[in-house]
Amino acid sequence: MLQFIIAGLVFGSLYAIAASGLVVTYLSAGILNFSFGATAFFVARLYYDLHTTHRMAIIPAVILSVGLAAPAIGLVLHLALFRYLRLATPVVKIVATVGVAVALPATANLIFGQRPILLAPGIAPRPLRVFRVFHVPVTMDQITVYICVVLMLAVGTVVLRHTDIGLRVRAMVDSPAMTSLSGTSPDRVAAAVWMASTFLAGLIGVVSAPIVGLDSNSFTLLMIAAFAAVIAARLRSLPVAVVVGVAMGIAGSVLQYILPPSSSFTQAVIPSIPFAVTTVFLLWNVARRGRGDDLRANGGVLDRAISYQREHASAPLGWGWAVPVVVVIGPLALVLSGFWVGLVTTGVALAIVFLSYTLLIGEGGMVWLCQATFAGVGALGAAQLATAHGWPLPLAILGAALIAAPMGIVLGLLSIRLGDVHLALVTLTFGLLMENLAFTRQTFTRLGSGVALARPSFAHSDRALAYVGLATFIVLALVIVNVRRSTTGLVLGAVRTSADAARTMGVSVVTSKVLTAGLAAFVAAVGGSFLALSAGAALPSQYSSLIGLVWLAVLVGTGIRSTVGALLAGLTFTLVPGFVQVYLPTWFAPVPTLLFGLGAIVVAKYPEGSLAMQIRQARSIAARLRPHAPVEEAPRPEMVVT
Amino acid sequence: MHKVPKLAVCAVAALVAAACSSSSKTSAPSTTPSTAASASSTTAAPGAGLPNVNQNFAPGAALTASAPGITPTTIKLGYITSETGIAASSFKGGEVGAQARIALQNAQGGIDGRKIELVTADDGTIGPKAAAQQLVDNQGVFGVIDISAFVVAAAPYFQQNSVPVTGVGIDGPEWGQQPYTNMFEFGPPSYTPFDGKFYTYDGVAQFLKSIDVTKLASLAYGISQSAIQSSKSLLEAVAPQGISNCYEDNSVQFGQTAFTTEALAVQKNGCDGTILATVDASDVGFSAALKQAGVTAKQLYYTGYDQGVLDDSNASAALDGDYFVASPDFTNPPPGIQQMLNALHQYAPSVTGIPSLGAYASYEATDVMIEGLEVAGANPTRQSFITNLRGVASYDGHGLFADSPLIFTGFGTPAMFPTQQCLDYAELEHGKFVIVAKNVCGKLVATT
Repeated sequence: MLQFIIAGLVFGSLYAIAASGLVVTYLSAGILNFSFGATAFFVARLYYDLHTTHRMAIIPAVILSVGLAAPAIGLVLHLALFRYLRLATPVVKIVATVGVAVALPATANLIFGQRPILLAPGIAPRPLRVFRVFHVPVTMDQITVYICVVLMLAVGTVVLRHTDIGLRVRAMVDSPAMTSLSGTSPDRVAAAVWMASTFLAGLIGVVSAPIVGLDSNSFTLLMIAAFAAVIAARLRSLPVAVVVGVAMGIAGSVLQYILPPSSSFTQAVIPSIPFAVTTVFLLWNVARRGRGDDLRANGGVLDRAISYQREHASAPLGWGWAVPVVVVIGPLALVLSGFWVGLVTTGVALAIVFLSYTLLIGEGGMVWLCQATFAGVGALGAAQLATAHGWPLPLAILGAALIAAPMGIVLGLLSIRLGDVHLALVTLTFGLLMENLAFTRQTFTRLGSGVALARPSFAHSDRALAYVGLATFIVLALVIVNVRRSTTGLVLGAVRTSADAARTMGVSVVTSKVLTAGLAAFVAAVGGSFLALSAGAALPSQYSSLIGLVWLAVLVGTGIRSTVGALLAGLTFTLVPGFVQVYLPTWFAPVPTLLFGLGAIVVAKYPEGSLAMQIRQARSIAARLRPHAPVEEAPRPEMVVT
Repeated sequence: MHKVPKLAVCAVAALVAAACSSSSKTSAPSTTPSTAASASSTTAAPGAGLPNVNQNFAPGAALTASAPGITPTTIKLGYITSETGIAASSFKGGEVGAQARIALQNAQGGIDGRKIELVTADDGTIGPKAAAQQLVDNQGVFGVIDISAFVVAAAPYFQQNSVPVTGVGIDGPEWGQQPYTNMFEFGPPSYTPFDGKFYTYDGVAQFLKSIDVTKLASLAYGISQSAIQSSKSLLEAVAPQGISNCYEDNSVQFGQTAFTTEALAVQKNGCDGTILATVDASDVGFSAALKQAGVTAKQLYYTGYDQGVLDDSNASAALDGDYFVASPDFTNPPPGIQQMLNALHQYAPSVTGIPSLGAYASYEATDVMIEGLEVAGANPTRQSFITNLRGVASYDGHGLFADSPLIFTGFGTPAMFPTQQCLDYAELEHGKFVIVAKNVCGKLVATT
């Protein structure tokens, strides 16, 4: 058993090192960096290219990749993206880093190609030295990771808490304006922080690659598992993150020792450990303190007063734009040929799923990252009801949506007191848990073919299905617009602006949020059913949470608060890759993913999304072109001196 | 889609795990006595009434544009691969194999005088069904060669449009299941259950016995149902050979490369043999972990017999002394395989050494497509392709499948399986593959 505990340190140290990198970044920059894993992968891939492919010696390769390239990436990201995120809303912060997480691996594929890498050497010299500890082999690569964990723990804690630099960095997170009054240049500190953060990510990537494997998916999964330790650390305690990370690794190993390795129970439990840890710590946090608090990383009152604020456009864009868009899109399905109509059909189905994001995040201000899971529940449920139980299709779709809605309500109730970052992590965890435990059942996967979902006779062709989908989209969009204008919508708007103020007015925050969550889950499930109809079968693999992150990135890039934006985002997601596939050469293939990532990054500068930005620009042009009308000035309020 | 999810990746594991066992090369006699499989021609099943169309078409019969993708002078075929996404590393660039086979055919005059053209689509970017639609609707191809991990998602579309599809056939059960009579793979459908049973061969068991394995550990990816099925079927098949199961682990993470815990478990349970249904990177990690733990069990891998291992000195050092299923045998190639290698070297010079799975699978699948076009008549239609190829009880691919002719009759039943399958096995010795066992023939067994 001791041996298994020692063996568990291998993964435990990886979780610990990833978690500590995330915590250090969060403490220093106030942003939970979803692209940490992607940065680690990119630098590790660069190191492999230099050291293995080009046969550079270890030390120069490390200096070039970790010492130079990694901080350079941090500097570029700071200049292009992170410095605009300081006063951004939580969803923008999350989506922008998700955009980087999507764009970086795509860039790596474009630069380095995608051949599988069988063995990625680390910084330990080859041939690898192996030590024995209680008869358990411990390689030099693993020891490197252990050393890095200890170093990060020591340096991170000491620097952040006990040095002047650490004080300035933490002050920056609280309020850049106040910090600048003390003579510190916020921009320089922020740049240094990001360069240090990506340096850490690069170092972690290079030392982890020999153990975790050099592909972007492994790094993403490692980071997601590390989120559990980050949550346990309440996003701010480095020692707790390290300890919990190590404990998770040991727990995995010990469970493999205790449980029968061939049972399907073990198959389900082992990958679910991080998510179970998340749930336990979350509930414990909430029970103990009543709230899952995030850092106040939006700056203080002084920051908001002195910084340039974009005019808050909380009003929707108006119906004037919806009608022409629908009129243009409507005949699309008539005009285009089979392949493109198929893409339009899938795009419309996606648009329905996107409506649930619009409702939940755009209206409700609740950053949920598990809508793809609800779409999956809708799809799998409808397929089971219609195909396995013979229900008529509309009833099956409705039934599946009614299964998803209570799940949304329950999740909403459980997460009501969580801050935005906690909420995002919890919902992501829920989504991944469902994927690992529920979606992998044979009932749903059927050895990979999924369960068929036959189209109704009136919507058999892609074209007809596109129109049925569009009609459903319009109905649901109208429902959302109705919610927006209703009391619930006004309540949600009030809560979005200031939850505390809303509470003092006696507004029922809980009811509004929970109902919104339920409705959003319902809408997502309907969208999922349409995706399954478009594909012909409900394949669990198409509803993964990681895909959901890319969906969110595309939607936010287009416009999270606009129902028309949801439609455009859905069509963009399917048509752009189609266009690239048909008209551009093969090596352009990773480009759509890259573009979606970049689009999400643009959100940092234009939080409303590209659609709103373009409409406002069009409006301002139109206004300038209109003949000049006499401008009436509102009477200036005079200061009355008494 | 853009970020191919984990679960879809499982198909890659299944695919790669079974690639070698499904492209079977046996020296057993043809198992269907009703046909005479000569070395260079095929015959349709008795009663089909078709002439032997491997010769030039009868003079006077005009060539017409008889179907989508067919003109009097050309045949347009489609090819689907995964250029992006998580399966890309296994299949990217595989179309060179298809192109080589087509170039070889065109150099010999094409099919009935028509030249073949190939159009490619990527299912990683736009999804499997959209890729299928792009080829069939947009490009108007006659049939599709689909070498990817996601064929199953496009299968209903192909079936509804009666599009002939050929492939390697191990991403799902559709290759042997009604109503997918339009799908043809170059091997028996190992991932299709028949009355709740899966069919496999006990040749691997015989080989393990021949290298003195008595207690076998079997590991498979937890998210891959097909890899787990492979593992379970194998453990059932080894039992009659006197090999017991000492450790069965079906919770390996996909792509896992750190196996310290598993190595300890193998050691603790006293296993003297291991077999893995995993991709190359996991093979390397597991073998390294066993070596580091000082475990001397004999290790057999379904994957790993490829150039990537030979080209990576660290990987081949980690796998030194291990055994691999080596089919097709590219180390000492029999004539049919040598012909494939010659064609690849001539028309696809980028393929060096042992061809990748994508390259040789696409070559073989294209060969089946060409055969289907030849039996479909002088003016083929999709229906004549499907009906006539489904009537071929024994096809040896002009030597490509000489050891184990393919059976296309009996679709949807275990009659699709030849009664035995012979495979070759290699050992990696100091950076070179050495064939240590040739034509180890296994009987067909049904497992749960």
